[in-house]
Amino acid sequence: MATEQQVTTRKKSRASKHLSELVNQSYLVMHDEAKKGAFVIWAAICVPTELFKGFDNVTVAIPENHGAMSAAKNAGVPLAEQAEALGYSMDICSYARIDLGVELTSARASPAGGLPKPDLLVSDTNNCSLLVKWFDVYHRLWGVPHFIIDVPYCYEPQQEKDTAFIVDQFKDLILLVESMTDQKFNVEKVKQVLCRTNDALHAWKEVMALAARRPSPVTAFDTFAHMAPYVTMRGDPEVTRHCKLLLKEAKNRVDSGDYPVPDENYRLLWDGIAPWHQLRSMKERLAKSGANIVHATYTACIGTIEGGFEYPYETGSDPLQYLARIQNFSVCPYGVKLRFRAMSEIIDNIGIDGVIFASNRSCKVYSIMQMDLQRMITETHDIPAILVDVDHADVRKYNEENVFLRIEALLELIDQRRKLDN
Amino acid sequence: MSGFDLVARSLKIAGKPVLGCFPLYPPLELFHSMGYNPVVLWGLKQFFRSTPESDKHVQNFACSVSRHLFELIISESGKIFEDIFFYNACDTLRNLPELIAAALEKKGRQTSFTRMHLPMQGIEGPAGVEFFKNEIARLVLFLEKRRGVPFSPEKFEQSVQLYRQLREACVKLQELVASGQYSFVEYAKLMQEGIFLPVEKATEFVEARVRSAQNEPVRDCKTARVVLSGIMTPSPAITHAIEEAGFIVAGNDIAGMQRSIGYTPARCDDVREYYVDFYTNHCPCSTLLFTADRRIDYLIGMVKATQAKGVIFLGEKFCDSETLEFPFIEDKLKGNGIHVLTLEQSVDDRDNIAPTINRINAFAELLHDAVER
Repeated sequence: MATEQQVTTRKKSRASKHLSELVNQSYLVMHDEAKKGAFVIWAAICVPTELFKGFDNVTVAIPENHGAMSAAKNAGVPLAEQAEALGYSMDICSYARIDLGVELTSARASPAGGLPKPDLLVSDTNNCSLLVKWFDVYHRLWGVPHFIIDVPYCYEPQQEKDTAFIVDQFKDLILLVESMTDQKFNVEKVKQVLCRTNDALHAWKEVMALAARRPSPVTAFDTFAHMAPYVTMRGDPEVTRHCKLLLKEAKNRVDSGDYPVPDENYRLLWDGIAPWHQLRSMKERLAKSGANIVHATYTACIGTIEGGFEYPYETGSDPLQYLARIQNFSVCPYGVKLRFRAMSEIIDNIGIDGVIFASNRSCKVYSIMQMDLQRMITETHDIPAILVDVDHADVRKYNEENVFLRIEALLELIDQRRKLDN
Repeated sequence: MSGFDLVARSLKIAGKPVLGCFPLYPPLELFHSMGYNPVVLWGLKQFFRSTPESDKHVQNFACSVSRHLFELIISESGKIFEDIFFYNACDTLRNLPELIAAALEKKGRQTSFTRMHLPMQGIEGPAGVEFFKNEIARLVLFLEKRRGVPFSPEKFEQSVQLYRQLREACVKLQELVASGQYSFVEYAKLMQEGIFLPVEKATEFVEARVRSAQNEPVRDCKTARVVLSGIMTPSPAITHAIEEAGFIVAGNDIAGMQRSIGYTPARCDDVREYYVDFYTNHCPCSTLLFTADRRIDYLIGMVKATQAKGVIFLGEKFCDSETLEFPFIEDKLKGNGIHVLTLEQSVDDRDNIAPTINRINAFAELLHDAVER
């Protein structure tokens, strides 16, 4: 077990500095482009924003990312409270409450100065239908058109009929943007963007795979933060550069033996959205116990479909077909069997000692099925798993001591099993 | 043993295989025409004081609808359901079928689940129509295989007529509630019980109530006319409180009531076209994402048409669809001079009902004063 002295706050790495610059810059550019008359689209995280690269002078804002960033910068609670004061229940997604708090009251309270007002809202149902309702608030308030991409939920890998349905909707979306911007969609640009995204994903997956090393040169906390450029700037050459930088740093750590948890004794898997308000403190407190959350379903899903299937873009192929198929890259659009399959792959490939399920009343869609998943994982893989209450962006709904009490119990269970095995 | 056993007994007597349908708006006419007795698994709160079986699988921040539905299907009483149907009504409900199927399997029970996907971006759009027609065609094929009988357009038309007759009778009875000739308490009870009856029987009951209520005198309103809105049919404690406070429920926007009975397409010669029409022109509901734009005008129109002075919104705890929509609707209603009371129902709302009753009474006083002024 690591001593207090061994666990020190690491100096900000080059990749982390690059991340801060990239994110700050992206918000500045977004505001600047909007001021200069760019067509502003607010998109949900899983909306294939690559499509919008087929147009000129379009800027994209991601309200969920804005919520996550506000929470990570400790601005989440006051903003959420503003939304609650307007009648939005504490039971709804904290990203939504934070974003509504900013947009319906004061953008000044946002670390990013809010988002530039949209010309078009594009949400989807594959993450959750709450997103649609959240975007509907703006649609109604500001009279901005709202396009909903409806992605059929999958209990087995996505069927062809569903892919075709999603492609048809993309075509409708393209027509809408064409008519609103008076431009013609350029599919070749999208193909180029997807090739760049491929490169970024390749590097990303290599980073994730390095977690299989013991000790791991990466933690889930790193990947939570570093997924932001992929989420908000897909197709931008800077994203590829960032993922490659991250990979280089992770490899350097292996070479130099400079691991985030040098005495890594417990390798854990996190299932749930990142606890944005706890990234540093949770990482440091775990490290003191020799524990590292080496992987997370939230970030491992990037670059896959249904959590485990590889599906890279083939140069020159139909981008709409590809983008429709990867609508199932995130965790929420598919059912318990596929999720179990994806988690099993991580447990086997990365070498996981225990699983933390982050049960989140603010994100029902991610959470409801975790109790069964917990049972399935413990029964099949013979590793312990716990369920802890976490809210991704609202620290008021998080009790550190309660969570760590369970995590400590998890570590004890891992120890017990090891003793029995020996 | 749950209180549902009495219901199950009457369903068994009806003699047809029972199809348990996840809420909210399944294609009942189609199921009926294929020889099922379809039952929407809705308003099950009355049968369960607690949900111990469901709690083994679903967190307590799932809404009461999903917890009770889970509890019922895996209970002994759930054996009544030969098949289960579900669609993408909401995120929680779409997550449940696999969990329920696994729980049943552990109990050594096999129940067949079937589903359809309702395009939420709007069926009337070019992408939606063909996809949805195909979904209905797939469902028909499944039912033909499962039931071993071919789909019959004639039988479908007969089933549509039966459901139309029931819905029209319910609408008529709601009108009699609005004129004070029939008790809202009784209406809510009837609507709730009617869900578990075969359509033929339910129609008989409702039509009988309509006939007797028509002979009752029109009653003046002691307090004010109100519209009710929300997902769940209110519990008896709340319906009593509303009536005892002197309100007349002049309009009804409850999902399990008016939203379910408000629209039946005129044409039914093509089952696929029928359901395109059915869902496209359905009464607006927060769960039918593509109807969201119509909901405010619909609600304001209902308030004006019924000369209501206020809206009582019965929110269902953890129902994100309703919860996120309501603050904006509330603002709009208030902007139109309509008073609003927002209540919240949850899994345990039979307990600690007094604060809710107090709020209903306070709202009654407020509206009474407003009407007097």
